[in-house]
Amino acid sequence: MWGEVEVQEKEIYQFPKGLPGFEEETEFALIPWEDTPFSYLQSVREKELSFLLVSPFTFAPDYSFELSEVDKEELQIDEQVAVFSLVTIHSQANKSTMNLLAPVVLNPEKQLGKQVVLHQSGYDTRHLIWAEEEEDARSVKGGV
Amino acid sequence: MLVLSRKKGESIVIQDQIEVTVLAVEGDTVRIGISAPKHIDIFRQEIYAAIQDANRESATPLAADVEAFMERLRNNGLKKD
Repeated sequence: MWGEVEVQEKEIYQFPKGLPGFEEETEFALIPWEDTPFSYLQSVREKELSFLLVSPFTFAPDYSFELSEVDKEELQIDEQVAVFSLVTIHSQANKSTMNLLAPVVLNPEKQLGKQVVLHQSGYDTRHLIWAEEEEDARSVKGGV
Repeated sequence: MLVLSRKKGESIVIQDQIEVTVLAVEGDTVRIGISAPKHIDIFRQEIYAAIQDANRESATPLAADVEAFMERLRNNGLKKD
């Protein structure tokens, strides 16, 4: 996406199952976007393929979930874990969304990653990043 | 597509590791039980499709859109932990 990028080996994560829709892509570099809560997930094999990730807690402080035992085992998670959401940038910036239903979970020690699905969590694949402000603007806060 | 008729309580076996059982039929709702090795991910089709769609839409955002997005973010004051 931005020409040649040098990537350290420690930034490369294996995604043994790929990502839904990109099942063949099993190796990605995690490239932090400095001074922002964003990172790029860049396919190692396909240089034209990258995703923008964000720490979901930056925009949805109440976001929480329990990682299933199966996912923990698959990711060989012992202590360290990192969580990101895939960002879908809309041509109208304020309609941009993040995927809270299927976060990208990383094990930084083993450099393993998986997009896990939070079954029956009530979270959405297209959560408005600026949802709260939209609500403020329409003053529909309160209620349920 | 292979089509099989099964009654409540009956199963089908896929390879030798996955077993799908019809647990109950109520009107047009069928309850299905699935036994599979734990490394096999199981999804409701529409949920998997929604995630695939969202991922495809997220892939390789246009530089101009990213720029507009970051501009919106800056106008807002970048929230950081």
